[in-house]
Amino acid sequence: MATNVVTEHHTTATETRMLTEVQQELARVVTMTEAAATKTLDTVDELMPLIQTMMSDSSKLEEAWGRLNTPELVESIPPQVHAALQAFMSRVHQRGLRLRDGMHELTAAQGYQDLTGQIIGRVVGTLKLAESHLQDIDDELAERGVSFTAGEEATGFYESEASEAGRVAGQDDVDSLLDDLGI
Amino acid sequence: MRILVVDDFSTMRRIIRNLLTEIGLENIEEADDGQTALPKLQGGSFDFIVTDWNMPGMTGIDLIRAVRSDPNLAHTPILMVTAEAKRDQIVAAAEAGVNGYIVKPFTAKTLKEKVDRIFERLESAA
Repeated sequence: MATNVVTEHHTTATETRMLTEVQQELARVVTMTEAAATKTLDTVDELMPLIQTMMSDSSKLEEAWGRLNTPELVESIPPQVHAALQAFMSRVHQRGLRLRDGMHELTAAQGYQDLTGQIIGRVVGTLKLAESHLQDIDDELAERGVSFTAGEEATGFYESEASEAGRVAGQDDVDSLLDDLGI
Repeated sequence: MRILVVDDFSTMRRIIRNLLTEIGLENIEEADDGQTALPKLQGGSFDFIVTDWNMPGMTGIDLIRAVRSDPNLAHTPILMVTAEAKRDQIVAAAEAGVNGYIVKPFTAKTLKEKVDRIFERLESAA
């Protein structure tokens, strides 16, 4: 069977590679957003006990203040100090409540990561299907004796491994390079 | 001090604004890319620029070059905050005249350190 040579299009292998690279990028997005959301939640977990301790201490202080706040005490300290102490204890309690509520809101907002992950999951599913169909087309064309020559050099979605090799590892590497450049 | 934060992503502008406010820098304005940033810079006296690299209208590296080539803006300190982390990009930013470079994701501590370092160096050079 004569082999037909088609020169005007990228090969389906190129498109397949691009689809694979897109899926890898999306997987990277999911990993990054998950890490960010996790870090946020870890921080919330760290701060919540501090807020609760603050509110608990504030309540104990208010109780003690209630016992000590006799007419004799009121007469013995300047009125503005008395008022400021009262107001402070009230504020601590109110602000503690707001902080606690805010942490809950922050926690709930991390739900974005789950929602975006689901969307990306559906997109990846569609991409896998397209990739599979492209492979089927390639296989069928190969059976019919149609082959492709690579025209212009195919470029993928992802940068090549060679260019990735130039990437610094983190801020310390950036600082080191800038030091070398005198900045 | 008047600061311009340039990034096409509004959440990132907010994050940088909040972190700068935490370290006492409060007079902050925003632009969503180099093209909207440049007229603001040319129209007002900004003391510090924080810019991303990848932006649609004018990239951060082109903004830096435009700032450095304008005699009225040339001495404005510029900090680049970007996801671009390749050595040749960092070198390009340095050659364009950036004063500091932070790779995303970054911490509040890193941002403070780099801002402090930029101004310490400027003071000692003055």
